[in-house]
Amino acid sequence: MVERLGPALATRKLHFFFLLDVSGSMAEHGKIGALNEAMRAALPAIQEAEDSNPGVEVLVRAVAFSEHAWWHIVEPTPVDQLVWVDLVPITQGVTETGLAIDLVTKELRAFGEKKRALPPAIVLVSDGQPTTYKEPHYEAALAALLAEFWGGKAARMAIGIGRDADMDSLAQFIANPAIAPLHATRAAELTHYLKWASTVAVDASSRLARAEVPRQGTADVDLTRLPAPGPTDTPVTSGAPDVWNQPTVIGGAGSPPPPPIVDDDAVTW
Amino acid sequence: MPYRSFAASTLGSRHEQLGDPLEDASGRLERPDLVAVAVADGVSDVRCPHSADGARLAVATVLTLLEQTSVGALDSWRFRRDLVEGWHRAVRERANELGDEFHAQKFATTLLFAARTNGRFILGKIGDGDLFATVGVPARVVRPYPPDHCAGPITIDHPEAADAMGIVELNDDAEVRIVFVATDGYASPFSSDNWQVEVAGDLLKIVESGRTSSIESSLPSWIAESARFGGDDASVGLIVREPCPS
Repeated sequence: MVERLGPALATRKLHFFFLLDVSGSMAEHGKIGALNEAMRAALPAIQEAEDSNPGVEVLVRAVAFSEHAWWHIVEPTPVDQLVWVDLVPITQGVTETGLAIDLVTKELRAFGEKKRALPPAIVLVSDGQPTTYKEPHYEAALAALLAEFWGGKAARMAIGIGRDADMDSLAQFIANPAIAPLHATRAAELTHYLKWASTVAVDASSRLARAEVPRQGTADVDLTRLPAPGPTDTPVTSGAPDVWNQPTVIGGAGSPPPPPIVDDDAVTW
Repeated sequence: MPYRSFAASTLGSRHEQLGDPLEDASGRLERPDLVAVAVADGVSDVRCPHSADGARLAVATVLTLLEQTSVGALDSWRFRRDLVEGWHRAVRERANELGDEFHAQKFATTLLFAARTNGRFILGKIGDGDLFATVGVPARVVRPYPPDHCAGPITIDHPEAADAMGIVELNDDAEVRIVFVATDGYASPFSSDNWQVEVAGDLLKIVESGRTSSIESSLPSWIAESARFGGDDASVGLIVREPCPS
């Protein structure tokens, strides 16, 4: 009786990146607090997704972005060891999403093309429109991400917060017409969507660990095979007021003008 | 014939957790003039609800066809066409038994096979999975196809399956000692990309020490380790040449 054949078995690492908007507008209507709470709720959900995917180890990092982008969680951290430290919005900060994408792109470039790696998961959360004060601008940064070996293969999800979220740019980030970005208009929805997007991204990337045959003609992660999010635990017609659809004011010299108020009675984000 | 065959499949821990059936299949044949193995990996997808049947029937179809074509030169194109057509007939019949409207994609599966007959080896695959052989003395590992050869959308149900299928022959001059086929659930948890060399080396040690028969009892536990760790169903088929008695 031979104990085993071949090399040792090893987990495959799934690198998970959160790109989180901390622009000035996130300070309004409790959005940043809701995002921090949603992150705390998402981490156990990611842990559950990891537990249900044998042979996969999820390592989490987070980038915060406003007029700059920086690593909020710089070390790839096992999800069970992660303690969420609250994000703080930048007063009058703009939304340089391109800088955040650029940080992740550089990380992914360093991965090379390891055969045993899993496609990373990237979840972008923003309440505004990408601003273009610094380079790389959003579209150029996104193009560079998608051109990277692992950037193009990544499971990408996006969540817009409130009325001012630029859903078109979030759809560009996903870069798959079959998948629409999620739109949260209140805290309960944000928590629900972030948990859902995070676990779906882990599941989608882990599929390649189990090496199931994609049916869409590519080896990239196919999020269209996964279920859409169900209703939030908190019905949207009850509970907390819909405060995130109030138009936000982005102040500061050189900032883009606030969008027009289209609904005087609006009470949601 | 100094050749032995072994084959086994195991349910993956992820599938077990979800209550999914074993969607892999494996089989082998030993006849006086033929030794053959085959493994198949039914596609896990809501569009492929009968892939476990598809995998089982793919293995049965290719073993039957190898038995029928074991004598004479191999007409590769005809073999591929007959295999795909035979599988289609089998799954159509199965769809009738199930009372389900026939659509080949519902039975989608990969297929890897190997046979030693008539002085040569025939190796074939469609879809992903691993296939390698050792040739020469000292042994070298050769992989006629990369693991992702015609992977992606090309499984045996695909309209271009016969064209996409890979078939190679190795004659006895190649001094083949081991032929190994596996569904991708077997190797995906290995820590090394070069696992074929280590697996081949371990197998050669077993064979050269005269313990070939032990493979039969060990193979299920070897596969189970991968299936438990990686989560996917795993299957292996193996043909080995026993050393000549000294």
